[in-house]
Amino acid sequence: MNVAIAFPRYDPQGRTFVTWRPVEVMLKLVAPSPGPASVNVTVSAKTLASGGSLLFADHLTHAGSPTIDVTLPGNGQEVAIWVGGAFPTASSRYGDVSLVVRDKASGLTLGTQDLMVRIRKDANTLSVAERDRFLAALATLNGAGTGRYNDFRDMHVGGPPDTEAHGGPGFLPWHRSYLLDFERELQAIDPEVTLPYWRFDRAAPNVFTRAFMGVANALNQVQFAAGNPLTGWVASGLPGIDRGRGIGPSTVPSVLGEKQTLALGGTATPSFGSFRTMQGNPHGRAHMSHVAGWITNPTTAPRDPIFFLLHCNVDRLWAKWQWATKIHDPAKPASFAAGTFPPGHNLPDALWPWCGPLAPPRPTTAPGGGLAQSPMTDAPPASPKVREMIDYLGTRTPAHHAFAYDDVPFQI
Amino acid sequence: MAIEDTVDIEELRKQYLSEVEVEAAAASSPAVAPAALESHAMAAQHEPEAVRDMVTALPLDEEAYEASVRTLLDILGNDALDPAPRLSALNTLGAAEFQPAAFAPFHAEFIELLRRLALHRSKDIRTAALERLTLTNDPEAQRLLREGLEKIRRPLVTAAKAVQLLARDDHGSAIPLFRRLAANATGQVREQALRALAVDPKSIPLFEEIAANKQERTQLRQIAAVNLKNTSASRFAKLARDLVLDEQEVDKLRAVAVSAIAHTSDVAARLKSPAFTESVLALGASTGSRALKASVARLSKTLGDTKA
Repeated sequence: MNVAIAFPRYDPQGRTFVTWRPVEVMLKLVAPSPGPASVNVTVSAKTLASGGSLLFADHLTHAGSPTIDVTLPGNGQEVAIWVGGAFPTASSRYGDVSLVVRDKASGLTLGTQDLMVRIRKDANTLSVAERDRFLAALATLNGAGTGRYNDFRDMHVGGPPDTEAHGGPGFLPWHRSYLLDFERELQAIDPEVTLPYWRFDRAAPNVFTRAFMGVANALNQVQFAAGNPLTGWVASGLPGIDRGRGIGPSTVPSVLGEKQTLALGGTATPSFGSFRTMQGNPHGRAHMSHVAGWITNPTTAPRDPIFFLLHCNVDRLWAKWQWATKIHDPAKPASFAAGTFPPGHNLPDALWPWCGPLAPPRPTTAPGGGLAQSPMTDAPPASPKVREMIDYLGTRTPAHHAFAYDDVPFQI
Repeated sequence: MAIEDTVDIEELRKQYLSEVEVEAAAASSPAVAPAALESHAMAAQHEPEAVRDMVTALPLDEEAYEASVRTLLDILGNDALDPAPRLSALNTLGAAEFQPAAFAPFHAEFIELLRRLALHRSKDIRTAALERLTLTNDPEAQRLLREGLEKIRRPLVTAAKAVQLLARDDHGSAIPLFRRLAANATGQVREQALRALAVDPKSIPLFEEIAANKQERTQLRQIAAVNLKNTSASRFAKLARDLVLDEQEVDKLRAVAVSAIAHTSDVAARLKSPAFTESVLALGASTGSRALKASVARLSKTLGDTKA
């Protein structure tokens, strides 16, 4: 007798990944005939050292428990439970946590499923193994200047693309889509990788080292330890990374702090319209905290890989504001800016370049094609709209984006 | 089975929100007003440090944006001020540029001002202006830098810095100059010129010569090797194999070669053979360099994954 465990999604290697957002998992008793009328089982998590944790419930909730008792009919009828990562305990590698089904009476194991609570983490807290996997995937995506990375560079350049990315309230949804596309490309290389974020309101002594994002010399050229995969980084035909010396291991940039940033949205009647002023400070100031180099100009910024970590933190701040204010529903006016804005910056607008080439004055080319799809979810679609980038955790609908942050819980 | 305490998410949220409210209350005192900054900066007895701090605290939200940028441009262009507050103003203007739609009305004036400052008597201001202008391929800044290197005019920055800034030009208009410097210059200037030739196919023989020459500095050889990888996979494959198999080579260069092979599938496919894989594994087992060991581990995986 055993229990078949069916997660909603698996990747081509048969692996499954969750975030804090629970997913519906089906359990089914597989017993010789004639079998028992029913079997009582307990579902729990088995966690290895530094592994992720799981929570269980019989419905979609943020308040699951570490175990759940389930009665499985002997006729093989499926029973649904909900399984999500237990905030804030994320995995560091695949299989460091397993779902285990045991017979309640005997304690015998009837079924197991390895998985990973795959969460975006603070770059400064990554383990060496996590850091190195991320760097290896990043270097592969760059392909020494010949890889898919070039599309991401070209999406974020001056002229009409600049208007798409920065020219209105779509700034945050656009970059959320951009980062998700980028992260999914990294995960196509190594599914255990997530995009880490650089908390630019704190010192990051483990990030600005030769072993990770590098250390700039007097000529603003970033130096790496031998063997750091970014040694072979090439952007726009130039090897290496052009970055000023504004940020050292102990530098705390002069930008709004996390809570100050969330306070921009207002506290009595919080609104995205106010919160989005973070585009100037801390976002713009974080770019300029490096003083010089590619990262200090919107056109050249994506040539520096720190750009993706910086923007991941910008997106995390938006995610945290959404959680703190419970404003995830795009149908609520406070979830986005009120008014009419340039194309690409209104809720129903398709986001470029994932929607394809457009007529002037919008960009007439579209590098990169549709948004990369994830084996773990169908959302957002390959051509996302602004409104589809708001409820990334699927608090209102099943359409979650299969990413989450290590300090932003799922909450209904 | 370990039962862990679960986090009360709603309680966590309320606690966090109360902390945000404290921050909001603290921020309710007015930010630095652009007009106040301007009048302080223009006063004869202004304090440079106070001006710099006020510049840093200037708001860039929608309401204050226009007045803030106007003030920043005035401070940046004010020759009566010390370089420090002016450089702070330039930095904050850079942050303002990340809202390009709002910055558009000021863009032309900003570029004109930067071009003027590229000739300023203060080296720090000159360098900062040229840094920003070259990020956007400004032809005037490129001309000034090129003329300095060609000794047509007095150099505005060091020769190495000039090469580095000119190398940002996406159109590669200074490539012939870089070829001359990579062949004939010395020290940092030569290194920067070599770096700037990264994708120049006409420099492939030079890359091969420098990368293989043990008399050259390791840093220079490393740049040459990476350039060769960028320009000719077949010729880099030969060089990389030689570097990996040469027991007298420096570990740093071998690690770079191994790492480059691991991350370039074309090169890995060219080198894949049982004998090479065996040599790589032996290198990983015998070296004391952690970087080289890590690179070998990656390459072993790549060679295992690469179809011959």
